[in-house]
Amino acid sequence: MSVALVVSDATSGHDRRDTLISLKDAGKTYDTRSGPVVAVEAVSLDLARGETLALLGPSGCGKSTLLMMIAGLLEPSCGHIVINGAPLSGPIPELGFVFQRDLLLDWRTVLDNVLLPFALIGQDPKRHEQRARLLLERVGLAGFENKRPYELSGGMRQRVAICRALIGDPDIFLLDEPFAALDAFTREQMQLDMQRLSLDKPRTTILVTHEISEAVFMADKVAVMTARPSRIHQIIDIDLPRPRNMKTRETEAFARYITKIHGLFASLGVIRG
Amino acid sequence: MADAGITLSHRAERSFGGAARLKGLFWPLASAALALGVWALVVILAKPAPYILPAPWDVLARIWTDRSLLASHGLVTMAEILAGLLISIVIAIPLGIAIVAVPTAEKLLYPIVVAFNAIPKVALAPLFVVWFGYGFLPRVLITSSIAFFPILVSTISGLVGIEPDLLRLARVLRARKFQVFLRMRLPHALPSIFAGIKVGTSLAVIGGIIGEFVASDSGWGYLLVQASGTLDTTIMFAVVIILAVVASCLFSAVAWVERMMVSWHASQRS
Repeated sequence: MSVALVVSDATSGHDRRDTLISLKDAGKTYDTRSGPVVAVEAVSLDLARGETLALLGPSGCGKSTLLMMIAGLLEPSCGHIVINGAPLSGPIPELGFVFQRDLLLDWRTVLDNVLLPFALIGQDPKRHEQRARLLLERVGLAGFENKRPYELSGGMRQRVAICRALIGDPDIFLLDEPFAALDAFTREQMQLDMQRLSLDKPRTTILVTHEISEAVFMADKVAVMTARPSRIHQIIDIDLPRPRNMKTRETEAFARYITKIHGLFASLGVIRG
Repeated sequence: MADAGITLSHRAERSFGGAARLKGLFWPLASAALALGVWALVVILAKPAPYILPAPWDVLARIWTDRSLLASHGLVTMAEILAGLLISIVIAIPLGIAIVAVPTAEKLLYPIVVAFNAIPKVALAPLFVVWFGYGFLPRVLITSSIAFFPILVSTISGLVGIEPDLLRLARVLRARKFQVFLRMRLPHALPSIFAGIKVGTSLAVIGGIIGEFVASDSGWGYLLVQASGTLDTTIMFAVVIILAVVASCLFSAVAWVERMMVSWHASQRS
């Protein structure tokens, strides 16, 4: 099993400053009747506090599996994951997770959906209402607090889901193809808006995506992943100044990253011409 | 029968939706008028003997003249239907919850539930007579045993049918099991539970009448059996028409409660 490949230089490049998430040979293999199936090959990587990592690759490359393991939803079958110095053994409180589908509860208002995390652990949501309203305002949903989810558009619903993930002010923010179900315009807007949500507090973010430009635009590091075998092929540092805006997409540096990653996928046979 | 109930329910809900309440009554009334018209036409053209097919106006007149008789028997039948339905709701929903919540309960009880569900409940009616005699109780038991299973099965399927992603979300949020049940599973199951109650409502009406066929000295079912013996077809038609109206009203009442409780569900939005 080829372990960690280029990954090690990602850690040696930076001095080991304040590592928040650390994967050590963590991988997932399922035992099936027809033999073991590798969902994702063992990987080692470190993510510093405040950094954004994009897991980029075609479907079946194990990017979601990797994210599930970091979320504590899935136990690695080898290696281990350390978060903030402590070995991971289940979902931690300092975690915000956004799924591809917004998973809003139709019977709760927008405000109550954002406050759901408190209700689910038996806390009084009333105390956090102020913050919920503030978050909704910041994503442009002021005035929608008492609407029901079915009265909202897909983009608005996903904004509510993002507010729900951020209500506990998490240190770690995990996004599983959060904009994949949205139209191209809404998606671009969301990519811009996401930065604003982390301005007050840099959050360590891991974004799963299959869109190259989304990965480059949002991340500090892009993990290029392949299917069959499912593994991280290379991690590329994205050295674009922040905050990034619409102009960022027009820069030469941005285009170079896109071309480079596109070329990587082509050479790996993910895209054939 | 059950399927018909479900299809009709959607029509009923639509008709109550929004401001067009009166407008919604137009088509049900029109279809009732059509049925009565065809019936009248057959009577006028074919002139059947009254003990084969009485005229609609004769039936309506009979409902008026025998109103106190019909009402006193109807009270008994309605009480059976409502009591039977309530008992089956009160037992089936908690039992469904228990079966879903406790794995042992599921393994132990579910096979019994499936087996009982397979029994034609009508076959139990004579047995209930042996056990409980000819009173009110056996008829209520027959009614509730028929209405019980669709409610139980739909409760279970509603609770189990929650999307895996929602449970994953609950796990990420470190939710307590009880809170997940109260705030996710149960609301999610409500539309399914109501679908079961609607089927159960239709079946409870059948159960009440069948109970009176087998074990009774009163009620609309008893009246039907008596009238059959004397070839009093007019009163039989009267009972059947009243039953149709009463069953529809009961159904609409359940649909109304559903609308109040699950207004957020797709089936309730106009």
